[in-house]
Formats: sequence, structure tokens, C-alpha cells
Amino acid sequence: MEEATVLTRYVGTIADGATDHQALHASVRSAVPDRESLIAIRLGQTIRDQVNEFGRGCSTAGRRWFCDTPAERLRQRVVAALIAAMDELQSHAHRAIGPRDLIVLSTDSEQSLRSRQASLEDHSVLLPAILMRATEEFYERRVGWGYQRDVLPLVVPFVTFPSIDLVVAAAKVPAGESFAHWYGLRPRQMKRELYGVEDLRLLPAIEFGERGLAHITREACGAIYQRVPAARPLLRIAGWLSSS
Amino acid sequence: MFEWFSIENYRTHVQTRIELGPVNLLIGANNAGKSNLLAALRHFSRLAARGRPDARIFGGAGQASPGGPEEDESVGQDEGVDEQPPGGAGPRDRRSVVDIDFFPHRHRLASQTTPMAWRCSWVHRRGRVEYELELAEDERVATRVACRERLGFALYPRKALKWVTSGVETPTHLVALQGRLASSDLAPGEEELVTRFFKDLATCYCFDLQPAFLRGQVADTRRIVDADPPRIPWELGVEGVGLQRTLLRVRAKEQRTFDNFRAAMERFEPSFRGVKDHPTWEYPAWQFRLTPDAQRFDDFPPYVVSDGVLRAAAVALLTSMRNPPALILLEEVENGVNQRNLASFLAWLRQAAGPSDASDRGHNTQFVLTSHSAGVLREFSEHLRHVFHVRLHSHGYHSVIRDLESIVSALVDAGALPGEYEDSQGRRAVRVTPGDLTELWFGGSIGG
Repeated sequence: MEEATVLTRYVGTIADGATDHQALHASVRSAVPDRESLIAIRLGQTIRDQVNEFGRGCSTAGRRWFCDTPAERLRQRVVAALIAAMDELQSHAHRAIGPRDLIVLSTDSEQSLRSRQASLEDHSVLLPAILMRATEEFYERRVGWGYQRDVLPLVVPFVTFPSIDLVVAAAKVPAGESFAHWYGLRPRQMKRELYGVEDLRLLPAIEFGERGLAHITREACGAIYQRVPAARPLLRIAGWLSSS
Repeated sequence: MFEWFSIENYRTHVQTRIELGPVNLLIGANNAGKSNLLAALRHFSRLAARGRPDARIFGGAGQASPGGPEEDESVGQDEGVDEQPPGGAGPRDRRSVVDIDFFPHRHRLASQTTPMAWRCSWVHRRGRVEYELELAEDERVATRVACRERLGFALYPRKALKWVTSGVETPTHLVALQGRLASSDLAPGEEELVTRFFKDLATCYCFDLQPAFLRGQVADTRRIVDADPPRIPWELGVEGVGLQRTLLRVRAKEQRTFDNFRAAMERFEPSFRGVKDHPTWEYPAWQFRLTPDAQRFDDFPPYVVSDGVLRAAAVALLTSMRNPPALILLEEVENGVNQRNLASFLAWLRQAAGPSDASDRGHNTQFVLTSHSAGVLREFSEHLRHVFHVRLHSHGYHSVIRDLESIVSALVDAGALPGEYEDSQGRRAVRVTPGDLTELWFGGSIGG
């Protein structure tokens, strides 16, 4: 009988807070099969303040555009965060980091979408696009400094609308039940309905585990994929990695 | 002044080297190894102090010490402290190197044959010294821990170091090099140079100031011998247990130091007027002016004074000394201090350190601080090469230290941070704004 080879992958997450890290780790695990050994790491970087500043800058300007000063500043800070994140991921790893390892670059947009399709509208794709451009710039700088592709991790931007709680909701709401109600909810409403509190800092860790994380399972992965378009690249990549 | 220290296999520091400026800052996550680095320097200093042949370096008890009255500051921080480690060396057996110096501190993943080692480079107006001290497991010596020392020194203009060793040819458990040098035929200039070096190394003080100690709510159980003038860093104690008593002694014995202290404190807290003996209290009275009446002061017992003011007082006292020790280590200097006052704190330290030609040994004193405060980091935006980011690597469980100038330069070069380069003291230095530095800190790109 052929012995299965267990691959170890490092997944570092950049997120807005502790519960976001936990939900992201659970989401990636849900997409990865048993034979995969996954080591999830909370990275110390966050782009939350820069994203908030970008949001305020856009509001002040009355429009949103890819090349505005707020977008430029956000892009710079994301590159800085990725440079630091790669160093930190390497500091946790027992081998050289490579392309089978992930950095999930996540942030909550704090904007609610009217429907699932709204994720394809212009204002919804701007923030992910800035993160994607910053990611490419990060690779460009690293390659310019002599890094080869086999020592660079795969960076996956993941912007949630309005927050990572939508992923929890997608996993928690039973299959066959309408999910349309959840798209329009504001972040605080969504938290209240999911966990019974508006501020997750007030929720003991064990209850967050029971009311939220416990629902993000391999069985729920399909529902997340179907209901949360923004999560699809991450789930696809996590699944693809497992078969590589 | 100390140019650099290197540490091997001490707790999380498998191989760490730090180039010291006048005021240095260690940043990094909890459990990254910042305090271990301070502990390593402190441990090195204690071992060096233990190697002194007598209470005074190269001078027998009762002899005049070289260099005049400032030699009174050469008492190590633990001198006179009533410590008697179980089964190990005590105050009467200072030269022995015992298990307690080695096994609890050696890096846990190091092999049995790998030594724990310290090295440093020290410069003086008259010459330069390099010193290495290694502790290694060795069944041939009584305490199972052998001590190897190497000392290189050169009087200017000579450049090549002249080396002497101890424990290299024949294993010993003694920190014996200083004693050997004391009985050797060193030239007078050489003897003075190494004397001053060992004095500087032995008087490295580490402070982890704690409010209850500073207030005098914790009893000072140390055996203290009153010295004249007061030995301020030693009398203050690691946690500041001697602050109240020391202030009164300084006021009585060192008027100039006390005046400097009071002036610094008045700048920090404008209502502060001083500290004095109280006729009926068992503790000193802290005086504050609460009304516009310049002649009216109110007395307060120390336990009602704010934590930040007490901590500031301890630091102000240290930085007001006429002859400060060569190296002062301060843990989490910002605790209890308002962000706006942090600038005063850092200014005191820089003033105390003085310029690079302030004394025969360069800077008057050098500081190594640890901090978790963005407010402290802001004050270092023009001194990034003296800021060190400490990170714990999971693989091998070891701390890695990197200066912030190299980290920030990489971000500026990547276009991820606005900044510019300028020539400073003959070298190319990167400059970023305090605001950008703070933003990077909060974003976790540095300091996390």
C-alpha cells in the first residue's frame, strides 16, 4: 500500500483582528483535504487603518478612483505590510518559504452589498484591485531584489463585504434557506444576528468558537463558495494547492 | 563607551550582536527576547564584577582607587545585596562560576558542548579593549562549568590588540582574568585602561521600575551601607525600592545632583517643588505647588503621588548624576507616563549621554531601553540605527535582531514609504517622518 505524503503548508493571515484571523484560518482549513498539513499563522501586520483612511479620503473627494492619492497611499502601505509579512512568515517556518505557502491579505471593507451580484460592481472591485496591484508591486520589488519565484509565497487578497462575518453566516445558514437577507446587513447587525453581540470583543472566545468557527467546516465550504463571491479565489487557491 | 556587544546561546539569543549608540531602543512583540537581551548584558556585567580581585578593581580594600571620587560608583548593582543562591556561590565566593550562572540561561536547544558567550568592544580616549567571556559545561572543573576569558587591549596609537587569556590552556571555574592582570606587569597606562574597562563593564545597571516599589510600599530588605556620596543607581535598586530613601540622601549629600533632579522634574511636572524629610512621617514629603501662591507648597506622602511622576523621578535622578555608570538598561520606560511627557524622558536620556566627546570614554553614559510604545518610537525617527527590532523565530526558538534603519531603508527603496537619504556623521542615513514611523508601527510593518 502506498503511503500518503503529508505536505506542510504555511498560511499566514493579515487581518483586522483576532476573530478575523480565526475565521480565515477556519476557511482555509475547510478547503484543504486531510492529507494536507496546514500551519496557520497570525501575522502581526494589518491594513485596517489604511483602508479606513482610504475610505475617508474617497468620501472627501466625492469619488473613488484607482490613482487617487488615498489609493496611492493605501497601495504603499500594503506593499510595506507584505514585505514585513513575508519576513514574519519566514520567521515562523521550519523551512524556506515558497510558492506553496500563502499570505492571505484580508481586510473588512465595512461596506454592505445589496446582493451577491453587487460584488461585481465598480465600487466593489476597487479595493480588491488596489490590493491586487499592491501585491504585484510587492512581487515586482522582490524580483527586483533578486528573489526567485520558488522563494516567494503566494499572496491572496481577500476583501470581505462588509466583514468576515459574512463567511460565518454563509457557513451557518442551512442549505436551502434563503441567504439574500444577509447581504444588506450592516456589520453590527450581522454580528448581533450571528453571535448575539454587536462587538466581538465582548464575546468570550469559547462562545465565538461555538457560534461561529464551529460552522466553518469542510461540508460548509461549498456554501461559502456559492454565497460569498469574494471568498472564491481563496477557496479555489486553497483547494488547488492541495492537489499540487 | 561600548561599541558593541555580542551574545551567544543566552536564553533565546543564539547569536546576537548589537552596535550601541548613546541611547538605544529595543522593540518587538511580547516574548520576542528584548528582556533576555538586557538580562544577558546584566549577566555579563555580574560575572565581570564577580571577577574583581577585591571590592575595588586592582586596588586592595582601603587603597585609594584610581580616578578619584567617581570610583565610588564602581559598585555593582548587586553588591551588598543579601543573596545566597541555593547550593551555589554567594557574596563571599564571588569568583566561582556555578550552575546557576549557566544552566538556567543557556539556550535550551544548544548542544552540550556549545558555550554560552559574551563579547564586547569598548573604546576610551586612550585606547581600546575587546573582551570575551565563555561559560561551557566541563566535567573537569569543580562546578561543572568552565570559564574562559580573553582580553585584548591597545593603547593609542597602537592598533593591534595585545591579548591575555584565562581558562583557555587550563580549565578553571573561576572568573580569574582580572585577578591575574592585577598581579601581572602591565604598564601603567595599560593597567589604567583595563581597570577603567572592567569598572565600566561591572557597573551596568538594569532597572525595571515598579510603582509599589517606587512608592516605598515594598520593604527594602537589602543590606545597604551608606556611602558618601550616595551610590545612586545601586541604592535605587532594580525596581526602584530605594527611591524615597535615595532622594533624601541625595538632597543631603549631593546638592548639585538634587538641584538638577528638581529642575528636570519641574519641567516634567510644573507643580513639583521637591522632596524633603517630614518631621512626623516615616517617609519623605513630596512637595507640590497647588495654588498661584509661590510660597505655598503642599506636602504629600509618596503613596498618593502618581505612578508616572514617581517613575519620572527615578529616571530624572539617574540622569542627573555627576558620574553616571557606563551603561544603564531600562525596561519599558514608558509605563505610566503620558505620551506628551515621553519627549522629556528621551531628552533627559540624551542629555545625560551627552555628545560623543563628552568624557574620556566618549558618551557620559549609554542607555538601552525596551518599549512597546509608538510614542517612544517617534522620538527615535532621527536615530533609526539605534533602534533594534527583536523577533523570535519559531524555528530553533531564537531571537533575531535587526536595526530599524535597514528595515525602513528597504521600505523606502521599495516605494512603500516616503523617505529620503541624507549624509549624517559621514554615513548615509534614511529619514522618515515620525508620523510615518508611527503608522508603520500600528500597521505591524515594524515593531510587531
